[in-house]
Amino acid sequence: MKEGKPAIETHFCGVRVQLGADASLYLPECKTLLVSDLHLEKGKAQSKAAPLPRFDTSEGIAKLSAAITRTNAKEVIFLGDSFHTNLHAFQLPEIYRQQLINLAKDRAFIWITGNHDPDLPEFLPGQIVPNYSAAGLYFTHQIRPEEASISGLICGHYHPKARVSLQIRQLSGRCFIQDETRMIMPAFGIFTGGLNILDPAIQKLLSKRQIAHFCHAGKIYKFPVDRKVFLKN
Amino acid sequence: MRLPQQFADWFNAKGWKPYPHQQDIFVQSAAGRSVLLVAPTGAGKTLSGFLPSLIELSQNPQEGLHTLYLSPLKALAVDIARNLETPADEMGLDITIETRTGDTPQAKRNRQRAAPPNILLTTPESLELMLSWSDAAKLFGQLRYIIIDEIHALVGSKRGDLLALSLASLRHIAPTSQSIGLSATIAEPEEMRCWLSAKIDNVAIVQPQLDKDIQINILDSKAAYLPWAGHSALYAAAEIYALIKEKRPALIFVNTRAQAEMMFQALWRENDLNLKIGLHHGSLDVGQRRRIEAAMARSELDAIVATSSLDLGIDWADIQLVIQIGAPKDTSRLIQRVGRAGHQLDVPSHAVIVPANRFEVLEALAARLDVEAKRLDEMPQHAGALDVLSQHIVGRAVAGPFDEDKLYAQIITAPPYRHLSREDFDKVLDFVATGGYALSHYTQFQRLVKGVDGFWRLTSRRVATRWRMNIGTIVETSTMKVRMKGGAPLGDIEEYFVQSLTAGDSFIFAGRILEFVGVSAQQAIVRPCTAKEPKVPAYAGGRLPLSPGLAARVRAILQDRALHHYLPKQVREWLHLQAEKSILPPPDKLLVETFKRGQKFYMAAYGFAGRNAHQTLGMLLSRRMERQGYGPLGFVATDYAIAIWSRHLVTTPEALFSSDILGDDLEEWMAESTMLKRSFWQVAIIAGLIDKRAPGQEKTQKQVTINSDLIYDVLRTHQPSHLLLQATRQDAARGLTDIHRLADLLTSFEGNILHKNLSRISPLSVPLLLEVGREAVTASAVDELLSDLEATLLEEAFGYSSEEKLPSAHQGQLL
Repeated sequence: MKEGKPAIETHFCGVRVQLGADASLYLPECKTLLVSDLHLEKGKAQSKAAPLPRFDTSEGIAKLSAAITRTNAKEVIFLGDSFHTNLHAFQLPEIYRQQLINLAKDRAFIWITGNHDPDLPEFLPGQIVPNYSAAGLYFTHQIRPEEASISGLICGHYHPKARVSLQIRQLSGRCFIQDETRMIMPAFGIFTGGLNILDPAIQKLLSKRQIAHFCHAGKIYKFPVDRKVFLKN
Repeated sequence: MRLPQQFADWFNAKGWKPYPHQQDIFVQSAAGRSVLLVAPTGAGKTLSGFLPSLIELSQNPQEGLHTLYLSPLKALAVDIARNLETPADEMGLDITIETRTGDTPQAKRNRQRAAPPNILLTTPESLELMLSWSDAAKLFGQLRYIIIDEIHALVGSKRGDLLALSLASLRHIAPTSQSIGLSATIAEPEEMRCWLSAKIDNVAIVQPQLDKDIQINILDSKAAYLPWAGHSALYAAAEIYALIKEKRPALIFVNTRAQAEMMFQALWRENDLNLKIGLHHGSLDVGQRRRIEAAMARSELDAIVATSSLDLGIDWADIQLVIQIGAPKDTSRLIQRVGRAGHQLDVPSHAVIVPANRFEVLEALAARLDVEAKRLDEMPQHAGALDVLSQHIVGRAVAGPFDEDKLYAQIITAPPYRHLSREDFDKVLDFVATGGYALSHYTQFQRLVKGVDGFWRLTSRRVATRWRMNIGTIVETSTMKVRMKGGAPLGDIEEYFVQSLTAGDSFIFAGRILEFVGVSAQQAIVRPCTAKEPKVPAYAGGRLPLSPGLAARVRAILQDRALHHYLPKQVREWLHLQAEKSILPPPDKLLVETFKRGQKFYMAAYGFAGRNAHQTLGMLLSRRMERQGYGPLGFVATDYAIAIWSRHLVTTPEALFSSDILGDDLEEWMAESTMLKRSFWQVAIIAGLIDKRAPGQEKTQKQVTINSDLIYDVLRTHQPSHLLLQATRQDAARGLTDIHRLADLLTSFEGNILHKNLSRISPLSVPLLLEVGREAVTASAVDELLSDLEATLLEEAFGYSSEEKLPSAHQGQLL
């Protein structure tokens, strides 16, 4: 009987990767865990139009901790927009700072800056960089013009999500989307909205042969992007 | 005590004799009592209600507001006002009569506030607004009469909850007022006393013993084939048309708007005599509805196809026949509808029920027997909704600072809130003041603050502005106006339906076949066309489930062979076959059948507990079966039964149906259910957490829904006791999930299951399994579908299975 799994093992540009239904990516060979767009403290953002309770940070860090435990990663790379704004990063409450420091014990934390958090405070454990490479892959938040021709690139920023049509209903969920040379990661954060993978902003970054790894109800499924099955909003 | 001469003369001049109950009302009111009048249509109810006011004003002409009339329908208020002018003019009474509704122009409203009429006819929402004025006490201080029309229609709904609270506030500032309630025939008039006054001993019930002769028949269709499932009754269109030809004008009631549109089309296809048939439902343009109503009042129409949109309203001339399409679901409602026929009391009312499928035949017979035995379904009694209370408390603060103890004392005089605990009241007050713990750091939720004087007041005028723009308890789904190209508005359709259309698609609406042209300025533009197979829009909105009374009667019919001869041959044979191949559901046991069909195993349980309770049962059973390894794949629920199919046979259903399923399983399921998110969204709007309409902000429904989903998830995880979640569970328990009915079902049949394991599908289960398109799918079925889809697509696209490697372009490069 067919069943989805909580993580899928596959290859990306010759490198073994594990894609998790929790929106994390793990490189088993170098024990590196990648997460993107956490948008911590978004709940605190006093948006009149969209009031959101303020528990997302503790939940986000808990989710991160679970992913680290599951994989036993030795290195954690944050692909940008880890905090909702610079201000929130710098004003991160002490309790969350401590939690991050604890998680970073015996591990390397690499913080890539994003457009929401171009500056990061020094109290964060680990390194702060504009981009990073490991295991033959290149990591950045949003693809800059000078990065356009890099192969084996993994980025964040777009919060890809997909709408899948089954016979009896439609389902929505975060997903990884890639072609032969690039992969865009879904957002890891609790409150993040998403952009449909069929949107031109994402489509223009990828070639025709696309694969989407669709996350739903704790399981992840691999779909070549087929217009009959994937819907725009 | 007699009517004043002036009035007796007027009755004489009209050639009317006042009904005894009209005299009674006058007598009781003169003695200082409030009155509940319970009578069917045609009993001169409206005039009865106004007699005390007209008499008093004739003897004591005065300035200022004397009588307030409340009606749930704007149109009704307007019609009644017009009708009142007649006796007022003819008797030369010096009385001012005016209406105030959402449609009243601002200038007129301002003038009414400064110089109010003697008699003001208005709606509950307008009353709530007027009560928030700082000069409300002055406006209503001398009020003598409060007349509440169609009061039976308000009890049990959130709208009624709000009205009850408004009345409690009103009676507080109008201590010399008396109330007059006008109600249709209901099961328990005693229950309504408390709506008329807090001193129930001072309330008189006037219920004339009018034996209105109601003749109900069930269409004995000559159609070759009575449908197994479905609710449209289109198979009988020709026969329905024949009925209209015989007796017109006719009122044809259907249960949903989509059914109304389809039946309207079907009747026009039969319309060889070119009869004037109209259409009326809640999504049609208001102007169109008024025109149809006016045409009917002028006896210009032969028939109207309508939904519950015509349940309330002014009495019409001469309806000769009422046709109820589809099972009636509730005998009180049936009697009220049938009562629309035969405007005079001494003329019998004729009604025909047209069942839409075989099971509905049983229900129709049950309804007929119940009506003949004068057994009415009771009105649902619900505790007052907490989100409505939140809205009302803000309204009190808009009127002026309040003391919480006095406010609590006032609120518990409102019947739906009579059992409200002080603890719950405090919780609601805290929510209104701060938003509740989880949201308390957002300044916009700080709506009230307690001053050093101990009085609660608004934190800012903006709270009042927001409140005024969001009064009411009706939360509509997102709809879009439909307009004919080049002109007339036709009505409103669900937005999601419009989004599914492309230019050139055809659909039926407002009685026409329309071609979708496009969307312009937030409106769907259409033009007429003659497509062969137009789509039928679906409308949001629940359906009434089978009432417990009717359910019991249906069970009795199944068992009582003597009654079977009332049933059509096809239905009799079907039941006979069931008795042969399996067994007819016994009265004291829950029949559960299991059988294999194809690759799946089915379990059908005949609970007769109504669709909502069965739907919930299906969800809970699926979870249980999942845990126990049966691999449930889907289920379907109707008013009579539920069927679940799974990968493995259930050999001991007794273990599944125990009432402990209502414990943790229910909590967990309710916590995860998306249905609850929808309830939460509505609760959040009514309670003022989210604005439907905020000043200067146009929010689309999608934005608002997304926000409320997130808030719901987080509250659920971090503050499950939050007031809004409590209100949501309350709503869910009484509405879509019908927990109490499910609980009754499970406890009454605990340990009393009759299990029949069959070698093939049973006759009784056929309608269940034919409820196509209404299946609910379990999580493991979704997983399976996604995995299958995954395998299929990968196979097609790359010619390999998902375990193989994806071909890679080239190696990555080290930087």
